[in-house]
Amino acid sequence: MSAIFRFFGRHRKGVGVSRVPPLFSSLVISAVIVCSLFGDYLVPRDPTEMNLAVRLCPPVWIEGGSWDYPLGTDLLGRDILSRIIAGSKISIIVSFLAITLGALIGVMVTMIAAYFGGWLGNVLMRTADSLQPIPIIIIGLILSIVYSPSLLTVIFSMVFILWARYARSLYGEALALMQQDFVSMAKVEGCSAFRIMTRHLFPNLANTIFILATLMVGWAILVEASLSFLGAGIPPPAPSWGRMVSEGRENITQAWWLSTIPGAAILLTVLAFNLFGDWLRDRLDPKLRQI
Amino acid sequence: MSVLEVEDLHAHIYTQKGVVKAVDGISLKVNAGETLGLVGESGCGKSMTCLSIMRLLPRPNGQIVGGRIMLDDHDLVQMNEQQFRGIRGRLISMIPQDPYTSMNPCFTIGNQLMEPLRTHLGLRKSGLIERAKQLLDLVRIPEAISRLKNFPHELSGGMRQRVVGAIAVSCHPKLILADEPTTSLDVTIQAQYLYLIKQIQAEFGMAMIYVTHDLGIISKVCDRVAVMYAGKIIETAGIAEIFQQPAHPYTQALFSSIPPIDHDVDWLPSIEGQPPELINLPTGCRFFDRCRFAMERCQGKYPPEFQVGKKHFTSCWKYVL
Amino acid sequence: MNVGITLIEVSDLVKYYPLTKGVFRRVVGWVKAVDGISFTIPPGLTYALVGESGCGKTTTVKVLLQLEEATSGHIFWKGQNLFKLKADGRKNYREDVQAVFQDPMSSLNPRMRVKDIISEPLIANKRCSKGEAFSRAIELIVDVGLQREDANKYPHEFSGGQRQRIAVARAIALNPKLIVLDEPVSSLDMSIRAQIMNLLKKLQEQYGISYLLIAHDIGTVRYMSKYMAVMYLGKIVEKGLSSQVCSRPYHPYTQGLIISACPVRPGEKFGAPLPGEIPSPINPPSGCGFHTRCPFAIDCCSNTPPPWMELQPDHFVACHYYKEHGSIAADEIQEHLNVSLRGVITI
Repeated sequence: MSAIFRFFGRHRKGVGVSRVPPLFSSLVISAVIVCSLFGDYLVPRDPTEMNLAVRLCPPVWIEGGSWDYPLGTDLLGRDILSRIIAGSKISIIVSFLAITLGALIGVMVTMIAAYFGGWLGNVLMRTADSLQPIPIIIIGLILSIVYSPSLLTVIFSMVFILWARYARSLYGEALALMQQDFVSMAKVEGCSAFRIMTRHLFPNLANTIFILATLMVGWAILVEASLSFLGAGIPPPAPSWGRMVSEGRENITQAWWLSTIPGAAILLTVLAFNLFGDWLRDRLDPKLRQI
Repeated sequence: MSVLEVEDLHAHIYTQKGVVKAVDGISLKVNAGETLGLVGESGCGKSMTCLSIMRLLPRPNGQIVGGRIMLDDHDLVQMNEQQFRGIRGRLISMIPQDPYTSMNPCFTIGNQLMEPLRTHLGLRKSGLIERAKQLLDLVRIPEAISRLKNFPHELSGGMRQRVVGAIAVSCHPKLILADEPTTSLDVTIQAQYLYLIKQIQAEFGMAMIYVTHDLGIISKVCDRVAVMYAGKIIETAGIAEIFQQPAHPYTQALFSSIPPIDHDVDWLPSIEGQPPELINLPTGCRFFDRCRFAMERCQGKYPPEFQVGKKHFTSCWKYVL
Repeated sequence: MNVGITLIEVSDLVKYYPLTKGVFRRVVGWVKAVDGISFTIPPGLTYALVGESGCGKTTTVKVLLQLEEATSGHIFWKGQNLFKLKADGRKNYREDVQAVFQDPMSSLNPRMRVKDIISEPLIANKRCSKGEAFSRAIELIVDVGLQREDANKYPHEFSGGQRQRIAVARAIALNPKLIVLDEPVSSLDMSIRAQIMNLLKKLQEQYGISYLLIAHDIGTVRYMSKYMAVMYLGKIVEKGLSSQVCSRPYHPYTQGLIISACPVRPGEKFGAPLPGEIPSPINPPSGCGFHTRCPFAIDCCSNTPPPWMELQPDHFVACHYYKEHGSIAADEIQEHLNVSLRGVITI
């Protein structure tokens, strides 16, 4: 039982955080990243190749399946395994891009708000607050209607909310840092605002930024999948896990694997990233733990 | 007649880096009405000794691994947690260091004062309020009745420490452990507090262990002093002897490194180096690498306790012939 | 004060913080943190400010370091009025006045190496090239008693006393004329305090730096400083040579403070010479701020601020009682406070 726990990263009481990430996360994350980088070489078949003769072929472990198409085929006879591998690229690229941009903007806003304070800080943080309750799916949908859905609309809708989340999460810590004596000392020494923000605030926020990023990856993948599910995501023929789930909806009773397998891919990836983020947070900053 | 007798107490803290021998073989005795000062710097084990006596070592890493603690006839180490709960707060009680975190900010002063009374003495409604008011009067807090409804943040640091003191003595304990209660108070407020504590102690005849590193406080409050270094007690003496004739080189060096108020000094002798890490303790005397009188045999074996005066003991090879 | 050249002269410095209420930040009162203080620091010597919480010494430090703006008053730096200087002048002042703060844990950036921390003032002020700044940093590390190899380590690898040494090295990097020491040894262990105090004295002799020492421990003040001033509720109540103020305090507050701080000889009783709480600086008592706790308060104490009197050369006290009775009042006050120590006075 405890072995299962450790596989998923829950550490034994009193022993402390393990020095390596949980096995489950390491395996899944490495697999996903390798697929997204080298997917083009790893796919057994062309993910967009249609072969109506073998449409709706079940996965290999079910009667009727074969090793030619280990995870089965979809409505148009495309190999699901290849589409899963290819789809990882979309999930990873979109989420990493969105998170990097969102983090950049969010961190800059936080540091400026914390350093200068006063009405500027207030305005910036109230803006960030006001963006919190906006449901991102609505933004994504609106953008996809006004401009046709594309990589840009998906990323923009994510960044729009993401920077505010970063700002909100980091603000408290940034304020606490401003109270630290070494920041006062930097002012006494004559450091410029820019120098203080880059050399004193940012490096001390870096841990939290990274931890937040790993925790947000899961969220970003889900958002992309949801938007694709609703038809507002990356347009076809690029394979996206979310759209695969959506496409399989109608045939869910006869060919359950059409939705379930990409759904499982989403689940495992998001879970792996979340557990990795938990482990990282426990390792780097025990103060953030929520037991 | 001793209220507390600690024999060869060992308490360890298990960390990722190794076993920290926070308390490494301490023996002490405190009599009724007497104050024993536990003196030492940070990391010497004085706070851990108090926590061990109260069985409040940090869980799950802290444990008492050996020794006896006898409070009157009760063996505190052997008792189970349920039995001990009847003792903690009633027979022994503690005044912690930080007035800002020692009370729950969500409950009124009155509520927190009445809690031990309710738990240990079984008092009810009107008896509770009357007793709480008496306690506040005891610690000289004016307008006691209206203060009972105040929350901790509405009181100053000095007042808060007085309330904490009142909570500690509410059940007339036999022993009080005061863990540097005046560290964060101003000097003049501290003087008031120490005077108050002494008065209350004299009135109730309680034994007290007062943990501090401030010599001014020791001179005012303590009858006897035990000096700790790296988990062990290296000297015990009466208050007069410890100031006039400190025996252990550490005690001597410590006292002479404190700048005096009443005369000028050209150069203050300081002790070079740092105290040893409690994870990697040397086999011989732990003060060896910082001691002016270090000899070869100091490194080999830990020195035994030797009597150097009337009720004055020290663990130093200098005194062992 | 009779010293030829003064390095810095603080004159009638006032700093009030506004108390605001409501959405529109209506000012409803003032926290009178510093309420008109004056003192002079000569070059190469140490001046100490002593007092308990709420006395205003930390605020004075912040104003001197330009971390806060003064409400009124003057600071004369090498003869020039600091508040009237342009950006250039202020920059020069900033380079000449550095600081060491109380908490060695929070005064060093945990993400910077020691050599970066110490060389930062030089680099940020473009005093020299990076390479030169690093070599100077290594010299300073050795000067403060650490090893050359320590230059590449991070703060968490050092103990409190060692971190304070790093902070001192950083403060000296720009060759300042004045270093503000804000409780530099209070957070350190007893045996380490003497080490750091000795280090500071040695560096003072070596570089001819003045120190403004903020402390609440009288022993530290007497050891380190030539002159001292005792503050209470934003005002200075007594000032002069440290040895005189400590061995012959005049003001009732100073006497109470020193008696409270002194260890008691075995056999002697002790008491609490000063009853009551320290009033809040939001609504300080009128006239002399100490009159609510003073056993010698007379009528005029509650409505007129006390005048300055020089009772000994270079030893000043602000007290109405002394105006009435002269310097023999000192004995009377001491007698009274000591009598209270024999258990007669209750709190």
